[in-house]
Amino acid sequence: MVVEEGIQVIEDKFLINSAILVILIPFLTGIFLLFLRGLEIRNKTKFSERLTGSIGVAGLLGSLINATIIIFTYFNKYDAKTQRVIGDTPFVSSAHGTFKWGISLDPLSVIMMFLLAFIASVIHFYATEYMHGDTAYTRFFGTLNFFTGAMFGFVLASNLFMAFVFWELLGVSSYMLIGYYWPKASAASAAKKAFLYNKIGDVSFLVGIAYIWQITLKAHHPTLDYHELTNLISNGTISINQLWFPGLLLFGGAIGKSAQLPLFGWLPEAMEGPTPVSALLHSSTMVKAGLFLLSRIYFTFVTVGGHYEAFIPEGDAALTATLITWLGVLTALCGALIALTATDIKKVLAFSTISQLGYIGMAMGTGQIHVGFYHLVSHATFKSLLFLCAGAVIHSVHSQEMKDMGGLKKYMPYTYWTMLIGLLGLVGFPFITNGFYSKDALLVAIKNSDIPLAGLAFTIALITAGITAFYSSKLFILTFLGTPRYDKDHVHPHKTGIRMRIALIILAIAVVIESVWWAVGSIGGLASEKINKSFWNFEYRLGDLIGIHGAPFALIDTIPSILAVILGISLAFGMYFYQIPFLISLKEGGFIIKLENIIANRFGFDKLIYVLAMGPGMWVGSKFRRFDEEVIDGFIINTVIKDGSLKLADYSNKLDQDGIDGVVNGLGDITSELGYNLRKVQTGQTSQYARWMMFGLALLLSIMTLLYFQTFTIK
Amino acid sequence: MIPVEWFLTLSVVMFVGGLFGVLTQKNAMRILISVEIMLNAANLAFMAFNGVFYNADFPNSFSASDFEGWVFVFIIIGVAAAEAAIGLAIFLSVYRNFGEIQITNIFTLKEQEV
Amino acid sequence: MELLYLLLIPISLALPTYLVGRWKPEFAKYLATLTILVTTIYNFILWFADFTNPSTNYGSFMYNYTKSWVPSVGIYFSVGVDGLSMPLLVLTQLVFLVSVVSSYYIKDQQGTYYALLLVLLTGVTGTFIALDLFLFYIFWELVLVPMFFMIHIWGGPNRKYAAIKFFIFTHLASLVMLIGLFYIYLEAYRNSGQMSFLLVDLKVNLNGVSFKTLALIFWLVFIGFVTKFPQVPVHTWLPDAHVQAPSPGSAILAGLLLKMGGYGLIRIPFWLFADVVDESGQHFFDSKEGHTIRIIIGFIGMVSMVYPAFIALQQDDLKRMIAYSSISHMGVVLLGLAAYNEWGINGAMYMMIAHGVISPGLFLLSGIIEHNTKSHTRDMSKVGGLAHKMPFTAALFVFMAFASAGLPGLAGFVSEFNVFIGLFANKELMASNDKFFIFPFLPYVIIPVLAVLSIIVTAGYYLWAIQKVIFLEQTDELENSTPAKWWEIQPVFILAIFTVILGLFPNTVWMVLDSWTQTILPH
Repeated sequence: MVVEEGIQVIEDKFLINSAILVILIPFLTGIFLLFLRGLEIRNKTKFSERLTGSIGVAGLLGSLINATIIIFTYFNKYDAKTQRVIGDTPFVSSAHGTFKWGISLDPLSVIMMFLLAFIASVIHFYATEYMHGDTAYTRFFGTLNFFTGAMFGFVLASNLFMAFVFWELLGVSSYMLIGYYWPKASAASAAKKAFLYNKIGDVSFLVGIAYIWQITLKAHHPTLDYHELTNLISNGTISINQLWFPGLLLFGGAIGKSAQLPLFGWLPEAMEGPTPVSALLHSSTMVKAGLFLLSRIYFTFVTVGGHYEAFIPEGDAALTATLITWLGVLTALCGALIALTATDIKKVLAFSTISQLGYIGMAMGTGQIHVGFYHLVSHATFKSLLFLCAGAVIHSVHSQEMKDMGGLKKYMPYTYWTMLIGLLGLVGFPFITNGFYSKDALLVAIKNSDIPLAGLAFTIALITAGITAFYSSKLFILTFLGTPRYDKDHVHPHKTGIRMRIALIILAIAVVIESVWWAVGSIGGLASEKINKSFWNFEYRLGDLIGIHGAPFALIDTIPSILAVILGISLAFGMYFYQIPFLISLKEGGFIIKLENIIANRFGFDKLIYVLAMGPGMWVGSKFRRFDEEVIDGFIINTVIKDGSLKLADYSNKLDQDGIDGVVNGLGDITSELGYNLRKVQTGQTSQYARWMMFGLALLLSIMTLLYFQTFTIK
Repeated sequence: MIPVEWFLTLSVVMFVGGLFGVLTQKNAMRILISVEIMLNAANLAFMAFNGVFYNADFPNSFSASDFEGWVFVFIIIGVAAAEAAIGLAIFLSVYRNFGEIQITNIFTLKEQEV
Repeated sequence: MELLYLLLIPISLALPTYLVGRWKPEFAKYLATLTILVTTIYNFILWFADFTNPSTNYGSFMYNYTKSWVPSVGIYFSVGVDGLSMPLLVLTQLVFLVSVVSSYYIKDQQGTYYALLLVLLTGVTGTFIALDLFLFYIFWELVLVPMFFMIHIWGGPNRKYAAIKFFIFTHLASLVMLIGLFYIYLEAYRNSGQMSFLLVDLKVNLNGVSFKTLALIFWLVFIGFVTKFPQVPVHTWLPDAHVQAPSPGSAILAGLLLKMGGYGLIRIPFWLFADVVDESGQHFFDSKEGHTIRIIIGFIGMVSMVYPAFIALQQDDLKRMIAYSSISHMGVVLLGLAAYNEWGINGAMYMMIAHGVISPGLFLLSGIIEHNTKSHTRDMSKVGGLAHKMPFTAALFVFMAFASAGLPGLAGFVSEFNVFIGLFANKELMASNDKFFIFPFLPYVIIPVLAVLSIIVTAGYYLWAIQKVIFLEQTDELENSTPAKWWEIQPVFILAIFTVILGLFPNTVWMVLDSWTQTILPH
C-alpha cells in the first residue's frame, strides 16, 4: 500500500455506490426477513421456504453481482498499485474531528469482498436445503444475511471507526447465529461465551482506536483513515515508535475475533450453531476479520521500506510484530494438537481452523502481509468446502461424532470427492493443491524473517504441517473409509441433496481453480519471468500491489514441508486404515494418553480464562454487592444515618418532654393543687359568705382609711 | 339645728344593727328585713350629708347639685322595693323547693367533692 | 411564548384530569394521553422548525420569555432553550408519552395518578427550560412530590421505604445544592453589584470571582446534582426506588429524573463557569482547581461505572439489575465531563439522550415480564424461556439490552465511543506519572483503563440476563403468560425506533450538541 510516490485517492461515484449496495443489499434483505419472521410469529403461519430462502440467496447474489462489477472495474480501470477509490460521509462530526462512514476500494478489500460474496452466496444456497424444515427458517436467513452485510461493511471500511462498528455487529450476529437453537442450554451458553471472548478483544480494539486518535490529534491531524495514517507515517508526521502500542491493542482485538491464543476457546463452542453458520462465520469469513484487520494496520508493527521490503522495526516497536508472530506459531501448534484429540467432526475442523488462523497470523507478524493474505484466500475456500461437506455428512448420519461414521464413501460419492479435494487443500498436498503453495510461502516467510528465534518458529510451523496432515487423513479415513460404525437400524445414509451437492461442487471447483492458478503461477514462474510477474503469480502480484515482496517460490524450499506432509499422511493411514499394531501401540502408550488428556482440555486455557476472568469477576461482584448492601446501605445509611438520626430524635424528644415541658407542667400542677385545696372554703352557707365579705370589706376599709390618714398627715 | 353627727350616729347604729341581723339571723325573711334596715341607714346618711353640703348661701337659687342626695335616696328606695320583690319571690321558690327558708339548712352552693 | 405552552398545557389540565378521573376513570387516562400527545407533537414541531439548521449557533437561548417576578432581589420568570436543553426537552415529552400509554394497566385511583403524571411533566419540563436559578430550584423540587406519591401509592410491596428513601436522599442533596445556588447568587452580587438570579446575568457577573470560591460552589452544587443522577456512594436510593416504583414510574425515573441531575451539572457549573477567567486569562476548568475537580469527578465517574456493573452481575431481580446498569451508564456521563473536550462532553450529553430512550424501554419490558409471571416476580432464576410465548417482548428485550451494552448502530454506542475517545485524548488523564493524592500508588491512567474494561462486565450481565430470562426452556412461572398487549409493547417499540434513529443518524442531534459544546470549551 505504501509506495514511494504515495497513494492517489480517486473519487468514483459509480464504484462507491456499487460498494454501498454490496453492503446494503444483504443488510436490508436480512432485516426484511426478520420482519417477515415477526409477521410469521404474529400470524402463527410460516411463509414458504422457497420464498424466504430465495430472498436470502437473492440478497447475496445481488452483492455478488455488484462485487463482480467492482472487482473487474477496479482492476481494469485503475492502477491498483497507487490508486484507490474512497468515498466517505460524516457519521458523528464534532468541530475538531469527525468519525466517518467510509468505503475504501483497494486491492485487499476488493479481493476479500469478492471472495466473501462468492463463498457466502454458495453457503446460502447450500443452507436453503440444509435448513429445510426448520421452524425458524426465516430467522436463520435473516440473521445470516445481516451477518454477511456486517462482514462486507468491515471489509470495505476505509477507517478504523467504521471497521469497529461492523466488527461489533459481526460479534452480535455471530451471537445470534451460535445461539440459533436458543432453547438448548449448550447453544445459549456457547453464544454467550463467544460474545464475551470477542468483547474482550473489542475493548482492546476500542482502546487501540482511542490511542491512535490521541496520537494523531497530537500531530494536529486527527484521523482514523487507513490511507491517511499510512500517509502520516510515510511523510514522517508520526513514527512507528508511537504507533506500536496501539498496534498491539488492535492486535488484541484480532486475538479475540480470530481465535488466537489464548482467546480461542469460543470457536469450538461456536459449532453449536447450524453447520452453514460454522462454514461461513467460524471458518472462512468472520474469523478472518481479525487477520484482515492486521493486514490493514500493518503499518503499526512493520516498517515498509521503499523497495518492496517489510522489516520489523528496532526497539520497543519490535515487540508487537514478535508477539503477533509467536502467538501465531503457538496457536497453530495448539490448534493442530487439539484437533488430533477431537472426536467430533466439526470440532476437528474448528480446531484446524484455529491452527490455520495461527499460520496466517504468523505470516502477518513477520510483515509479509501478502503471504498471509495468500493463505487466507486458500483457507477460506477449502475450509468452507470442508465444513459444508461435514454438514452433509452430519445431515446424513445425524451425528457429529466420528465414531458413528465410517464407510460413507459408497453412499455419498459427491461428498466423498469434494471432501477429498478440500482435505488435500488443508493438508497442502504437494504440487497439486492451493494449500501447498500458500503454506509454502508462509514457511518461507517465517524462515527468512528477523523475529527472535525464527528457526524455532519455522520448526514448529513445520511440525504443525505434519500434524495437520495426520488429523486430516484421520478425519477422512474415519468418515469415508473403513467399515460403517453407525447404528444401521436407525440411520440410513443417503445421497446429499441436489442443492447441497451443487454448492459442494461449486466450492470444489473453486478450490481446483485456485490450485491450478497457484500452481501455474508458482511452477510457471520458475520457468518464465513473464508468468512470474503476471497475475498468475497471485502472491507476487499481490505483494506488488501492496508494496511488499517476499522470497520467490523455490523448489528447494518445499522439501521440508513435503516430507512433513507425507510423514503425517502415511502415519495416519498406517494407524487408522491399515491398523498396523506397532503404530496403534504407540498411540496407546501411557505418556501419549496423558498428553492427550492435557491437550483435550485445551491446555487449560479455557479453565485459566475462567479462573482469571469469570471467578474474580463474580467474586468482585459479590463483594461489591455485599459492600453496597451492608456498608453503604447497611452501615452508613441504616446504622449511621438512619439509626443515628432516630437516636438523636429520641434524645431531643426526651429533652423536650422532661426538660422544657416539665417546667411548664410543674407550674400547672402547682396551680391546680392550690385550687383544689382552696375550694374547701366553699361551704354553701350563705351567711358565712356574707361574713367573709364583711370581714374583707372591713379590712379593705381599714387599710384605705389608714392609708388616707397617712397621706393626710404627711401632707 | 340638729348637728349632723347625730344623724350619722343614728345611721351607724341602724347599719350595724342591720349588719348584725344579716350575719346572725337564720331566717331569710329576717335577713331581708335587716338588709332593708341597712339600706335605710344609707338613706339617712345621704339625707344628712345633703343637708350639710347644699348651697346655704343662696337659698333661693336652686341648682341640680342641691338635690344630689335626694336623687340617690329615691334610687335606693326604688332598688329596695325591687330587691324586696325579687327577694320575696326567691324565698317563695326556695320554700317551694326545700320546704323551709332557714338558710343554714340550704347549702347546695357548696363545692361538691370531685 | 412557545415554551409557556409546554408548561401551561399539562399543569392546567392536571386538575381537570383528577376531576374527570373521579367521574369516569378511563377518561382520565385518555385525557392525560391526549395532553401529552399534544405537547409531544408541539415539541417535535419546534425541533424540526428550528433545530435542524447546521449553521445556527445553538449556544444561545431561543424562545426566550422573561418577566420580572420579584424585582427587589432580581428573581425573574425566565424560560428558554439552547442546544443542551432542547434535546432533553424533546426526550422528556417522548418518555412521558410512552410512560402514560404503558400506565394503562393501573386500575387504582386513576384520576390521581394521571393528574400527578401531568404535574410531574410540568416539573421536569420546567427544570430543563428554567433560565433563572430560583425558578430552576422551584421546578427541581416540584418534581419530587408527584414522584414520591407515585412510588408511595402505586409501588411494590416495600414501596413506603423506597419512597421515603428516595425523598430523603434527593431532598437533602437539594438543600446542599440550594446553598450552592445562593452562594452563586451572592458571589455574583458581591462581584458586580447586580442583583439577579438570571443565568445569563450570573454567567457574566461571576467573571472575576476567585477560583477557590468557584471550586467550593462547584462541590456544593455537585453534591446536589450527583445524588439525583446517582453516583457511588449516594446511589443506593435508586435501586430501591426503581424496584418499588410502578414500571412507568421507573421509566420516568431512569429516563428523565436522572437526566435532570446530569443537565444541572452541565448547566450550572460547566456552562455557568465557562467564561470565568483569571488575570492570566486562564479558564476555570483549565486552572489548577479545575484540574483537581476533573480528576476527582473522573475518579467518581470511573468508580460509578465499574462498581455498579459488578453489582449488576450479582443481581437476581431484573429491574434491580437494570437499575444498577443505569448508575453505571450515568458514570459514563461523569467521565465524559471529566474528559472536558468536545468528544467527552458531546458524548456525555448524548449518553443522557441515548440512555433516556434505552433504559425506559428496559424498565417497561421488565414490567411486562412481571405482569405475566404467575407470582408477579422478576427473579431471573425463576423466569426463563420468555421467547417461547412472548417472542416480541423477548426480541425487544434482547434489542434493548444490546443497545444498552453499546452495540454500534444503536444510540448507546455513539456516546460510549465518543466518551472513551475523549477520555483517551485527555492529556491529564493519560499521564501515567501523575498519581492520586489519596491513592498514591494509582496513576490517573487507571481511570480510563478501568472504565473501558467495565464494558466487558456490562456485556456480561446483559448476556447472563438474556440467557436466563429469554433463552432456554420455559419455566413454570410463565405458564399463563400471554403475548403483550398493544399498549404494553408499542411504547417500547417506539423507543426502539428512536434508539435506531439516534444510532444511525446521530448527526441530527450531535450537530446541535456540538455547536453548544463549542461555546463552553476554551479555545
